[in-house]
Amino acid sequence: MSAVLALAADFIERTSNPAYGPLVNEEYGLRLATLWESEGLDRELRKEASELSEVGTLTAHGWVWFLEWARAHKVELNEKLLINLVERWTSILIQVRAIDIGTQASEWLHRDASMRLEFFPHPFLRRLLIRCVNPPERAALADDSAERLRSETPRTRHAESVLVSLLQLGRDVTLDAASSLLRHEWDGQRRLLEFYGVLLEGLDRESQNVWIERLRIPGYYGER
Amino acid sequence: MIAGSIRLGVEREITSFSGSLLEQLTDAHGSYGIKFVQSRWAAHYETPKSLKISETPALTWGTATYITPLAFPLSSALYGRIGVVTDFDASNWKIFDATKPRTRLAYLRWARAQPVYADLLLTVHSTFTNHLLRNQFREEFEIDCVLFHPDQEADAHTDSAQHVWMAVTDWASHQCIENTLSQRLRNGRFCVLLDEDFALQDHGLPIRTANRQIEPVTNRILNPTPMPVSRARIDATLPGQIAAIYGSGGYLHVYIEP
Repeated sequence: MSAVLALAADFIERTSNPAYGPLVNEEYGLRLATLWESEGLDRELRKEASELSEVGTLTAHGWVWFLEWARAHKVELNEKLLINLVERWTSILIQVRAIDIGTQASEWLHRDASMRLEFFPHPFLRRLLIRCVNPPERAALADDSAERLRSETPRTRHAESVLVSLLQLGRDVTLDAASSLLRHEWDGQRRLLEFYGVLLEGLDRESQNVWIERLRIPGYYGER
Repeated sequence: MIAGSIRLGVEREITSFSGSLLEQLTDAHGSYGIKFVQSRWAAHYETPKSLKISETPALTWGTATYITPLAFPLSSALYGRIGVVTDFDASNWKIFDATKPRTRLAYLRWARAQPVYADLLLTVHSTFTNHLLRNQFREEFEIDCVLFHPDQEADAHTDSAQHVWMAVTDWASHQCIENTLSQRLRNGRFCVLLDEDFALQDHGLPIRTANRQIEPVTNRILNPTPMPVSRARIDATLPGQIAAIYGSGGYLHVYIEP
């Protein structure tokens, strides 16, 4: 737990949570920025940032602020924290920012839309993808046969939102990861491909072609 | 991953400062912007300081410093009593003039083609998703300034059809928006004191037109008695004067003399 972040948590919350209203947001934003500059909090937090691992340190709004700050200032964060953030909240903004930070330092030379998920060369994305196709709640259910019988439907919600986040980031590395996720054979693949199909259907024809050409997902690529 | 025609549609709407509406406004009134802040910041802005970049997710064009060209000096008065004025140099800025319907349409077409578009319409996270889209759009096209008509008004001070507000981007690095203090708007100084207050929200929701809370009432009361605050503090007859006003009507306006 970062001492600086613990001290600043209330300020960050009041700066970033719209429920407090624009006047409070502006007021605390300015106070925080002033403290940031005058007390050297910025330097301290940079030092402590890589050690952060507890998602309970801040609220969702607080994490949005923190991730935007970390992204803007190229601050590297712990992979475990980033994956926990992606899994804790369904907000696409948090997911996109966490994946963005997890991939911002990498130079991607592998561009290949057919890489297998287990061997995806980017370690952070590989871990993220593997957890998508083996979500923790499903693993926990594996020994509970009654629960498993009640829930035969593969759980793809998390994979769907990670897929959207990867596509939204739109970098070569995240697009290749999206392609690997869609190609991966698991019990949720059919549902995930259906979800992708619906995303595609919502696009104009020209954008559809851009996606199809870039991701080259079997069943979509080459059909049009 | 975006269709070439959508990208081109946006790029066509991005202009340089030269020939823009902002150039017209600054030619007429100078390269100055004004932002109203709360009273407690009066002392902070007594000498020139950077304006704070606004970053809450519930902002019209995302993380930016929101100011009004000096052509509309009281337009954003609903946000505070202290008007902070700063100069700026927009000569190299890329401008997205969203006061034009066609320009707004270019953004809408871009937004509709985004993978997160469904989240915008179908989840509880629309505020966050909008924030993401607005920032990503400005980053992707490296937009330095969005011009837009106000979406909140201060009664009798803001004309949402005519006035123009600015969302100015500071860059932390290439295609990455800064969110702390503005370096582009770094000479903000307390220049205007406004004798009025507005309610920004109604039961927690942003208000469309914020009513003046003081002036309409003072307009209805006859016989105002103005008095500089420096005199009021030491005037031994003040209790008697207020009692007299209470008896006869009118009101005492204690003001900060220039």
